[in-house]
Amino acid sequence: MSQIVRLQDVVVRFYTYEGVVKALEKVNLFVKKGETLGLVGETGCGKTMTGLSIFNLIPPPGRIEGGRVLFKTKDGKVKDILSLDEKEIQKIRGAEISMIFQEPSASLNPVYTIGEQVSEVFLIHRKDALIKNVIENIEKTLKEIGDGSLQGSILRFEKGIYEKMMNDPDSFLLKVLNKIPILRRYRRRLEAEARKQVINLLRDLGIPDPERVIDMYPHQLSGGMQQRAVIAMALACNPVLLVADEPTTSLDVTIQAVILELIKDLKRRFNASVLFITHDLGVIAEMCDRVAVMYAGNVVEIADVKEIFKNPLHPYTKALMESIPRPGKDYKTIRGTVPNLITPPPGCRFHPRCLHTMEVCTKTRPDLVEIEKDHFVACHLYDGNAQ
Amino acid sequence: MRTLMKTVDLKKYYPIKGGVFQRTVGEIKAVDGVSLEIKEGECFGLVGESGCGKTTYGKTMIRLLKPTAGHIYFDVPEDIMEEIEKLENSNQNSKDLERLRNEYDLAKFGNRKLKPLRRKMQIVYQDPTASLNPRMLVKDIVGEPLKVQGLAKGEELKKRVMEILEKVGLTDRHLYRYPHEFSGGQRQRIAIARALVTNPKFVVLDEPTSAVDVSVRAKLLKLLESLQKELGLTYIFISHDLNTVECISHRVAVMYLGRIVEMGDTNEIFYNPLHPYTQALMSANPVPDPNVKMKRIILKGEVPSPINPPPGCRFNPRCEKAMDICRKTSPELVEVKKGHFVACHLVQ
Repeated sequence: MSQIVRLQDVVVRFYTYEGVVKALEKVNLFVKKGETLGLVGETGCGKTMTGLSIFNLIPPPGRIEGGRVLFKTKDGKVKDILSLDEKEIQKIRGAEISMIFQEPSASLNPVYTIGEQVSEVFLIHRKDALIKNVIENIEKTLKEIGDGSLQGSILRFEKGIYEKMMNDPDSFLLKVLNKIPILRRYRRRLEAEARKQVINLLRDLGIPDPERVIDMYPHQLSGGMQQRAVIAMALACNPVLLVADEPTTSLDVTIQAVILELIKDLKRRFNASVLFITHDLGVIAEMCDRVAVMYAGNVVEIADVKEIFKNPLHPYTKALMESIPRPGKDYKTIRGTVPNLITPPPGCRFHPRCLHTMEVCTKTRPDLVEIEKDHFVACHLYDGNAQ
Repeated sequence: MRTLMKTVDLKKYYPIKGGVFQRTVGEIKAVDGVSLEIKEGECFGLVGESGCGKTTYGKTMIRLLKPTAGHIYFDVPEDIMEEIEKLENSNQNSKDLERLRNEYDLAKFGNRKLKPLRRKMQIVYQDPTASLNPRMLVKDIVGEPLKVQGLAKGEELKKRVMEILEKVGLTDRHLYRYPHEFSGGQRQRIAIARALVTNPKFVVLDEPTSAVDVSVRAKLLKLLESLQKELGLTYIFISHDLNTVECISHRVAVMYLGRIVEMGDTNEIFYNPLHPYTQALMSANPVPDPNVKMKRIILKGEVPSPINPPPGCRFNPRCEKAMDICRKTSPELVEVKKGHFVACHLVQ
């Protein structure tokens, strides 16, 4: 299995008035083709920032200070996303990597209909294919009505415009046409084509009655339906990597079950990889092939999902596993609180709360090392630095 | 054990106003006939999806909302409770019953009569950021119930505030701070302290742990459990997080669209659910163990609108086992096993 995306020593800092927040400190991760990698951790540990750094979309005042994000595109080239310019990234975002956000009602625009929002993705990333379909349709009607009539010549004119649009999208003629409201109507064929695609997509996602839903506004839909519309936007261009940032946290358990099944099914169908960000270990156990545990801006452990539940090695992972209320077992608490990332503790960031703190932990930061096959841990207990 | 809180056929409808004269054109049936008994010293879990009326029920039972119909009995002496029950069962609208209800039924009380009772019934809300006044100091937030109830003032008030803050794990360093200076877990501790400062008997916990992280959640649950033992509290724990409810509750009721569909001991509900909705809910709950592969029951459709709920059993449009009778008559909550109540035609 090859790697789709690889984060190397990614460092993210936020420059706030209170000080520099060291949000991500040398994060190393990779996602293999066709797998689901779970990213788990508490609030503020940098899960979402890790997801956003893959898009180079860290919001200000944050900045990516170092590291590389290597991404393998659909045509097999490996690119460092952090060093691409805006235009090239634009081609990758949405088309090859896409994201599902936590709160569907916040990630949909309330003043546009579902159809308008989903078709935007098609109009930006799939324009050529749409135009090709439009031209084919025009040719078909031309053949039916024959030459000579007035309608035929209008159609031929429209066909000319669409051909121009495909071959020379920046031409002067198109700029003029787009400025004049009456003439802009030539785009209606394009929009109708996009609409057709959106309806097909919504039907694929199991939305009942897509012809009705497409003209609805987000507030007319329930939370589960809204999240499906967001998933439709994310999957419009068959991305190779889907970043799902707590996609079910704001939903009910029964709706969550439906959405999780949907993501699983779509992943299988499109053969995509998923980076699944969540704090719910139950969802992790259910969805993921491998799990990465984050604590205070560091990845502390990466392993196979069965391995991490059966044999967690890092003290934080162990404590996290014991803190979930489980039937029949007593749950434990982790002493202390999550550190402030403006002044994180030196050395291992977990050492003030750890039960096995040694002297070396307070001084040097442990690196992520492979202890067993495919089991990476960042802890001095295992890397031979212990005295 | 003595029954501390009892509701009989409690209903809470919200009117929908419409038209030029703002007449009532419909009703949202948020809580539609819930009868429950909560024993002294237990933790009663109430689960259900969002919008099923859990929170409305919790607020109505401690009279933060005025019920549309039904009766609430809180902390009524046992002999009087028996008398009320006897009179209710006899189906006669006798004068005695009327008199007893006027005296003991919270649903009939006015504000003046409710005020002394408020100190015995308290509530902890879901989101501590929203439920704590950002412009008040912690000492004022926690001390306010004592001031309002006239229980203490001056030095005495400060002493009692300190006592309760220590119990929830805060120190005197925190007295002169504002809520925004605390983390989510600590804010929830302040909210718990505010609820407990008047020495209540009964506390409504309305999703107290859903806004905090896993490790903080474990700490809060431990705190709630130890406080319950120490102060002899009775909880109603409202939540949609099934794992948490399973750990903390003694008995559980499942709500769907304003009604209780199943009620029983925690183990019974979680391992032997009888109502199809409870079965679907339990199967949808993700288990934190990758080796457990569960067979999911996926529910079709969405929760119907509580404005005009489906006729008959309210779950029938989404139920796989729906029969003809389900579409016509609404099933009653009946006891199928000792202490295990189900409202479903399949079981009856």
